[in-house]
Amino acid sequence: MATWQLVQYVVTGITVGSIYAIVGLGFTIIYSVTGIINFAQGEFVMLGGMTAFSLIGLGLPIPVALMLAVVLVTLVGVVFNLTAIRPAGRASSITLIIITIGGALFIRAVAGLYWGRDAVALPPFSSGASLSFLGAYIRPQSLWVIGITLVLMVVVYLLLNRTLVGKALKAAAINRRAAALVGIDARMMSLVSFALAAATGAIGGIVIAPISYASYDMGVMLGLKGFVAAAMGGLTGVWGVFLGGLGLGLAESLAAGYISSSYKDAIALIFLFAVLLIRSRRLVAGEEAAA
Amino acid sequence: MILSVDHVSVAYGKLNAVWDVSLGVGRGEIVTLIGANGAGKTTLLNAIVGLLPVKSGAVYLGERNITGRKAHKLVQLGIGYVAEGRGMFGSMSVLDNLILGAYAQHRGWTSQLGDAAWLLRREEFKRRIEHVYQLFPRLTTRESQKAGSLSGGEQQMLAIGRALMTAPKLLLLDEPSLGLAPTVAKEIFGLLNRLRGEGMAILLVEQDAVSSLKIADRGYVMEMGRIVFEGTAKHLISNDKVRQAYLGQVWRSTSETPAQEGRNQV
Repeated sequence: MATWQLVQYVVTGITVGSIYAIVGLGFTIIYSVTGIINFAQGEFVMLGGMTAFSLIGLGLPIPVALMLAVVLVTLVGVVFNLTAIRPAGRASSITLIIITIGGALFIRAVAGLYWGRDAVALPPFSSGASLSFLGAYIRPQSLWVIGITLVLMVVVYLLLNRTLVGKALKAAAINRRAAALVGIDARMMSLVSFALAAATGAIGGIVIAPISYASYDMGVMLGLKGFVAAAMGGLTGVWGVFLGGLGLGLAESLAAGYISSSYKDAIALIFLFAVLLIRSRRLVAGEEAAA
Repeated sequence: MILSVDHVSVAYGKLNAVWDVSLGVGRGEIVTLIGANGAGKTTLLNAIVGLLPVKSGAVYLGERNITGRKAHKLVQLGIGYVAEGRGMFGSMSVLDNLILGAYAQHRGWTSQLGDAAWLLRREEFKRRIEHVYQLFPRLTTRESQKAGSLSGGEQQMLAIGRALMTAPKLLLLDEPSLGLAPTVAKEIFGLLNRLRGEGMAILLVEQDAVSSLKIADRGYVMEMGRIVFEGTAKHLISNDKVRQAYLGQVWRSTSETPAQEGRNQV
């Protein structure tokens, strides 16, 4: 087995893993603030890629189109929260999770009607030949993906841990009533978390579209893998989901390279199985401790 | 009056928990609300601060009718509430708890997105937090500790400190001495005394009626959701019926009224 091959798989794994980390970040943000697992997160990713494609098609300069796509998808997140989550009031987490599944189906169906079923490609963010590294080829877009992921992680980390709104988001999650008594509106915090998750999701969809195409149904698999990344990271911390995403991406890429590419998605499902097994045990343990 | 409660009723569904209650708290005044468990004291407080809907009647803060406003809005108008059970953000530091106390006053974009350390350097914020540390020197040394790891007394101090960070004109406290060692409870009552001196209006709900009547200017006694007695604290302490119902047991064990002790014993 040649070294260059291993390096190639690792580079691919880190690139793909970065995307999973971005998608997972959205899950983590919403879960840590509201306790909801938002299964529409993958659709935010899809909307990011597809909206950027359409805006570029309208003739907007690429940077403008990409930024506008993020803004528009953020608005979708806000509208989703206001129309689907807020009216449910203080329904149980399970109810809210089912609402997000319904929302995901709705968004996907509308996207399928509007954009059709064909996959589309975005141009890479920068042109230029692939770089050669230890015999492996690294596409410039891979570097964009990894770089943007790192920046996004740091920004979200600082936002959640250092700023007043970050502390308020946490406080609303810890004790909704106590939060209200210092002036924090838990419903507003839920809205902010959805906006933030939609924005990060859109960025994920935009950076991956030049590599793996975008289509109306890309959110299904990406959402699932993002969820696995987030669950591996414990669903609460930024760095946990980052490592979870990279771990999943690397495992997938190495399995595809050394075993068979048809096992790629199976890896994610095996991880999902393992994570659910371990986490649900932990959940049960937590309930016992509380009782 | 800073707080005027005007013929307020509060209900859980169809069940009325507070009936036609009227009371007032003025500037620089401690008013206490006493009564047995389940008399409706906490329900009334929750309704005043907007955690529960008022069924009928009205609540005024100064001249302003605040009936039906949400709790997170009322904080901005100057109502601080130290709820029963303290409601810490347990996994956050003492300092973060205090910072969040000032949340309502920092709703602008720059404050919201600014680094918390930057917030700490702002004059009026600094003044307020120093005031809290001056009132509770013990919190200073606990600054970076998780709120959940504090002792019960320290948590109560933090809860009051956090409420003071909201810069309230009116402070409501629900059972602040519950579960605290007598010396700590005394410290907390001493602090309320000091806040009264600074002009704050304080509404104090207590099961420990003796301690609260000792410190209060005026008091109300609640029974089954209604106010059954009201008057100056001195008047209530010497009222036979009040003493019989609420002070009897405790009062006997103190030595302050030996002459009347016999009368309350059944």
